[in-house]
Amino acid sequence: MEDERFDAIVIGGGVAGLSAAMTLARANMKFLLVERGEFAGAKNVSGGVLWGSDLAKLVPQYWEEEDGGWERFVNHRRLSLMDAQSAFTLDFKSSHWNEPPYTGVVVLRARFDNWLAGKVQEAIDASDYAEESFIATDIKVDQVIMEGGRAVGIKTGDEEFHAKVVIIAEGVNNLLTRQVGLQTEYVPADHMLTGIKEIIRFDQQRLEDRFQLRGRSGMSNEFVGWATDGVEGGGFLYTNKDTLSVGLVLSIADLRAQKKSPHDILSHFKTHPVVADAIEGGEVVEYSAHVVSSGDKRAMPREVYADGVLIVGEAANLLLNAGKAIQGMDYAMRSGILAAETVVEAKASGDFSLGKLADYRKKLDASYIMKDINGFQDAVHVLHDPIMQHKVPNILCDFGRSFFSIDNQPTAKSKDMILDAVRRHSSLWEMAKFGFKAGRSL
Amino acid sequence: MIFSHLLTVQSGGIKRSSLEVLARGLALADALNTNGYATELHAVVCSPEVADWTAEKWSAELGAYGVDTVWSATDESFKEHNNQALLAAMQTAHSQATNLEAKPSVVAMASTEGVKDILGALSMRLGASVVADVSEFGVAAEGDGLQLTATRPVMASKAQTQVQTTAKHVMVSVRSGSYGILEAAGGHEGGTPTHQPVKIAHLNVDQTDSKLQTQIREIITAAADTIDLNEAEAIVAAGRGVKDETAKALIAELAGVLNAGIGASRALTEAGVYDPSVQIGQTGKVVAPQLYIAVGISGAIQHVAGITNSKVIVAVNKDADAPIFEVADYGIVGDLYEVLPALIAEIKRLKG
Amino acid sequence: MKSLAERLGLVGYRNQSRSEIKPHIVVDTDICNSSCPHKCTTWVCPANCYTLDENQKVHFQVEDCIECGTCMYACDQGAVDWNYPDPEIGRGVNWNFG
Repeated sequence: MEDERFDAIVIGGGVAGLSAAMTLARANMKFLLVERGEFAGAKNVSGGVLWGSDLAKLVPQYWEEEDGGWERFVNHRRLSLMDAQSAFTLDFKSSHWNEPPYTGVVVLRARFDNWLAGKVQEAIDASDYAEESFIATDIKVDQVIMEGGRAVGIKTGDEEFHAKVVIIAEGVNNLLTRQVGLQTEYVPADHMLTGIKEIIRFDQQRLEDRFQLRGRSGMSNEFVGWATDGVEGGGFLYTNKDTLSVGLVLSIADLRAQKKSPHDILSHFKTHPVVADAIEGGEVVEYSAHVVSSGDKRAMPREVYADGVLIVGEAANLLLNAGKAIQGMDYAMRSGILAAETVVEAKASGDFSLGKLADYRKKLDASYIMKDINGFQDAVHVLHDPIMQHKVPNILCDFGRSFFSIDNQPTAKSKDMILDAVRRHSSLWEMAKFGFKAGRSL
Repeated sequence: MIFSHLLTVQSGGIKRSSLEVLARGLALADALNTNGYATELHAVVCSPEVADWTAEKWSAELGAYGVDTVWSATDESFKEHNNQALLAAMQTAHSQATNLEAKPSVVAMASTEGVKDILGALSMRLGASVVADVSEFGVAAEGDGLQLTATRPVMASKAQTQVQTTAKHVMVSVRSGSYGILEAAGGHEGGTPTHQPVKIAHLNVDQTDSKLQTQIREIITAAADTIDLNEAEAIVAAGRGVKDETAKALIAELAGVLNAGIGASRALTEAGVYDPSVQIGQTGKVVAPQLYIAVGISGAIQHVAGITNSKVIVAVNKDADAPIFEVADYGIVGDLYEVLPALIAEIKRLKG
Repeated sequence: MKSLAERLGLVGYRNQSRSEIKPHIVVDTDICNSSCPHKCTTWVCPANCYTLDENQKVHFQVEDCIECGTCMYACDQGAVDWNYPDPEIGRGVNWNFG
């Protein structure tokens, strides 16, 4: 008697869920993907840049598609440290990154996820289970059905669906991960951030002129310092086809402690002269917000697998922001692929036991995801350190003002300028200690 | 070609939303006739209320709209919205007006809940293509049929789509407020009549269909004599400032002259001043009407998205610093006991 | 600079014209108004769904909610019962860009 159950049910049609689904479809697995939005992407918000080359593995030659779901590839990186009037920016642009597969692509989730879901559907249509596997939108999972401590399916309204494995790709507000006992019922604000952003539209030619974009090249700019009005976090600005994604990530605990509102800080950020110049003349066409992980391991679920369950993407808080880039979607993509591979192997061996599912943990640990998350925890802490958030940007901008000013007076030596700037905001000793700590972690 | 307009009757007259579409139909028919495409303007009215309308009454209501023929059905089955009966009536009127479907036609209606209920089935019966819920439309002759182009707001009016259909028979439903009505529709004393007499054709609709299939058993309304907030084009919302019976009466009167629904903030429904069924915001009703008048509402705890999606917001409040003024299009700082009577009087004067 | 009201006016909500919706977040404002020392939801919510009236009482309205999740973490008093909206009869967002 043929097993009526799905090989896997994927909960969530975001990057992690769709990546798992694509991998399952290609391996001829019978699966169901459920998404609570009207379409894949309807509920998702990202900064956002999808870094890395996994997209090319999931959707080969994706760059050849005329209207593919991505906005621009990144060949221009900027990291800005700000005080009230200035920005000291590390700016690196290279034609080295002009050729596909790209180092990263800027995306808008409502478009990207929807496009990716279309690709998954094509993969389903080409698979052995073209009639049985499907993507169902407008379905909210109320609970994961547990029998004897093992997940056996999902319940949505009055309907139940059963599977050998449930892949939870529900995103950072991981209610089901908590329901199955892998995360505490209440997750404190300590290591969680609120991402908040605006989409600002321009005439495409104007955008390309302003940011010196050629063809489909794009720019990513991260900010730290004055941008967040004293609240722990950072800012970002990414170029889409004819819009900009401009926003902030802000520590929820710090917003609470400092009695500040995220939308006020967003307005504040937009008034900074450097940001204001960049967004001048555009029209705001969307405003959005979403909780986002910080990359601090202390927020993560106690384990990423359980009996009949695999957790992928931000449902497992897989994200890293160590100052260089915010890596969430690439981790989601890779973890989704790894979870799906675990399912494929389990089916091949006929073994879906807890012990077999633990392979997912092993794969994750061996991947760049956990290696980076584990290896850069110190960097995450350094990034959130008040010295990095406030003093370093102020010192650098002070120094920048001195260094770059020519005022018909005898010029001081650069080292004296640095010492001056350091002493105005900190002390030599403090900066030496911090520099040492940062140097080791980054 | 034939323009066939479904007109709804309400409170003894043709409903405004129907007249708006009819005005547009008249403009289009005039243009087509001027360009040499013989076009007639027909109307369909299904309501027992019009059974006793005299020729003068018809003239007063529709004379200025250049309607060639009004097909009227006055059976009791049309008393409440009955989709089966309405479909039968529309189909019969249509085949007679178009001379048994020989002439191309546009069936135009206001986009109301009643119309939405019959849109699909009617399109099947007439073999017509449908463009629904448009904010504007135009018609051109095309071959032996016609081409209809329209603009449809989508995604809660965040974007607009341009739609076009070429067919022999087309149906279009129009969002209320998209077009204006003709001012001179009413009767005039003396002077040159601005309207022509209206020809009434009585519609004999085969009712056997509807009698067998659906019967309205019961109509459940939240409150018998109030306007459904969801359907209301205008809403008068009462807040804390509305404290006593006098104020409540003023609210009711203002709503009356505007044909508006009445809503209340949670403070008032919790205090028992208004029934919870009319609570707006705070997990009460969600509204986005054309006109939202907030009386004595501070706005501090009023939900924003529903209000900002109203077309026009008017606020009346004693406190010039009340947050409601930040979202209002028009604000009146004053005592509602003084402002409302003046407002009501002025509206009455304007309505004539 | 756009006000919060103007920003929220740009958001596409589901079931915008539905009069009866099932709220996806239920807040026990009795907790807010009795034992909570901060009432932080009234300033951390990006959509200002939590407000204070003239008597400093907390009010919550779900209609503006953009489902970000912030209140679920910010409230450490147990007043916020957070969930996703029901696709059929709930409110919530439909992002155009995301």
